[in-house]
Amino acid sequence: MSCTVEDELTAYIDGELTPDQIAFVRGHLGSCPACRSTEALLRRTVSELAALPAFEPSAALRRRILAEVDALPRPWGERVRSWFRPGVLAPAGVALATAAIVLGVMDRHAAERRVELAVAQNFELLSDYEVVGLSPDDLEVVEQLDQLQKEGRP
Amino acid sequence: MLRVAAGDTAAFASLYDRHHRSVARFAHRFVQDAGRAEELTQDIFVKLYRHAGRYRPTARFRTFLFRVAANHCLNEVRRGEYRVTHVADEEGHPLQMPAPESESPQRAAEARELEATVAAALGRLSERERTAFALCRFEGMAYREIAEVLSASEAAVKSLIHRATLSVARAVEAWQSGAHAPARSEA
Repeated sequence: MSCTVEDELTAYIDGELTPDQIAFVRGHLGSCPACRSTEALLRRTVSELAALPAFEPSAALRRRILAEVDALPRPWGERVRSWFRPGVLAPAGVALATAAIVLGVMDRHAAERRVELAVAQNFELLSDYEVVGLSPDDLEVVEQLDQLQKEGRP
Repeated sequence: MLRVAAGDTAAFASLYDRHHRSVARFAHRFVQDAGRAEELTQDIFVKLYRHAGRYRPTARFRTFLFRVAANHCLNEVRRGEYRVTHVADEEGHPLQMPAPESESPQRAAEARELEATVAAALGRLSERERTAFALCRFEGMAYREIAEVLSASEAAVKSLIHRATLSVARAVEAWQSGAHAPARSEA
């Protein structure tokens, strides 16, 4: 015969009941030989189970697992992090700085080259101005000549 | 675990060293076979590595680990890939664990027989009873933690553990009053 309190006995020996429940089960055990017997059996079994030898995995298992993990494609987080390692970042920084300098120099050279090309294209005209002894200020006066004459200047 | 999620294999190795025995022991209680228990342990740890990003520090790591382990073992057993088998000897006794060498031959034999009796009783439990029982009796988890692992209520876990413990206790009692008694009388 079993009574409903039997369902509480495992939780009772595992210390999983509230103080009120514990008091109730204790009181019941005092008057129920069947539950006392079951409680003793459960306690004995739990104690014997704790003494059983535990399964011990082999050392080879560690090697197998780490090898399998090493062979997996690395997650994105690790890939992005690897780009910022000092060993990668420093050479990359140097390369970027070099590229910036080269581009800057190239840009300055390009601007100079553009001026050179403009000079080359208008070289003939500029030579004529030099021949007649005109300065850039004189050229400005020539440009504004019509307007100056209207104002009555010589 | 956060370092593992970022792909830190050294952190993963450290995590393995700390927890592999519990996981292997749990898997072994599940399938009762050393080779299969190691295969399951390997699957569980590789799965843990691959899905480490899903771990949230709000959850206790051991709970998270055993949730992965329990789900994997339950799924594999349901899929039929790993059956709960018992390697029987000539007298029909199931698989026996080796006893510690320091014990006397008779104590060692008794320990092996008890282990075999428990293994056979575990094999008769439902998967959830076996999971709850193994987590409680061999990993020392509290009912609340087991409830989190199994996504069940504490009341359900209490019931699972009681049925399982009582079932194993009855099997051990039967062994002690039957097969075990003559062995003692011979000593």
